[in-house]
Amino acid sequence: MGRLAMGGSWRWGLILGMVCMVLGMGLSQQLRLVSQLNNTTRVQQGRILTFLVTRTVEQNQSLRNQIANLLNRVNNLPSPMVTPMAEKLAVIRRMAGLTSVEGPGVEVILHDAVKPSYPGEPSVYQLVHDQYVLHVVALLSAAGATAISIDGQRYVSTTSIFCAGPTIRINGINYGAPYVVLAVGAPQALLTALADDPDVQGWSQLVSISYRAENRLKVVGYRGQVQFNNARPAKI
Amino acid sequence: MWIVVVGLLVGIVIGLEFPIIVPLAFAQYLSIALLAALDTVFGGARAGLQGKFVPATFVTGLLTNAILAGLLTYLGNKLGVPLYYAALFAFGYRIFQNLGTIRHLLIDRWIKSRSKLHQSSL
Repeated sequence: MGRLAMGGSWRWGLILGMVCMVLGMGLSQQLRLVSQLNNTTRVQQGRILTFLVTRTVEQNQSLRNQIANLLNRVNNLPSPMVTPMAEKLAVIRRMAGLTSVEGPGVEVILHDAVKPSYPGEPSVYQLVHDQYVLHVVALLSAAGATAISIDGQRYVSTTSIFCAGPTIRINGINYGAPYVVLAVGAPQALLTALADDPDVQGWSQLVSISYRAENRLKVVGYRGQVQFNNARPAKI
Repeated sequence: MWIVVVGLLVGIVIGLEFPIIVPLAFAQYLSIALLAALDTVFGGARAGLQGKFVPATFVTGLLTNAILAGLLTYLGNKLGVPLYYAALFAFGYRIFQNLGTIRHLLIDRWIKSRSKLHQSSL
């Protein structure tokens, strides 16, 4: 670079210096801008959320492994004393809805309105509400269904179904439309109960409610936790 | 040479201490303009090592490259064609090529000076 001083006049040196100054300014400005970009709330929130989701997924997986291990140990306990108890427990678990069951039944799908809304129709009418789901479940139960699940959540003694904003909370977990209700029972009786119900007929005009008989349905068992904080076994 | 270093340092200090930062919308253009400028800087360094450095070429090259790269990116954004990547690729490629040439020149120089030393010591 020795030629610069020799060949170029001082004016070019000055211009070169100024251009370099502008370059330096651009560089440092860009550095500041990028560091600021990385510190914006949106990027940080995204990072935090990604981290939380990943961690929760990992935790779920390890807990699931733990459950499988424990179940394996329970099943392999030495038999003479345990076997009668285990047999009794199996019956009780089935009655409590903790095991998956299979059989003929009906599948009901409740979906938010798919038809274009009528002029002036409030959007409240186009949504599936918790009472629709509750009513369908109650109808099926009354018509003799022995196992019912809503979106994979088994209907058990502690099940709650209630409105949670645009979603419905079932067994403490939020679900959005469509809601798939599976019920094991005599298909004809269940279908008649649904078809003859005036409420279901009326709601079918607003939202989409479809049901059909199935020869073989699988209704999953309840997987959640049951905690009895206030209820204690009564003395008989 | 010293004027380059001084100018760069003064510019960096001004940029760091400047009360305002370039708006977010210009970030893309500024980054590509900087890349173009860096390409010219490495080209200039190579020319300096080869003894072919011409200040006028360097200054005009730096400014036009930076401005044109920014404008092309802007045009690409308007047209929906990501010309940004084309510029990124072209300048990135040239920077690495220049770096390679600079390395070769420096090694040549080093070997030459060593052989000279060797001869003088004999």
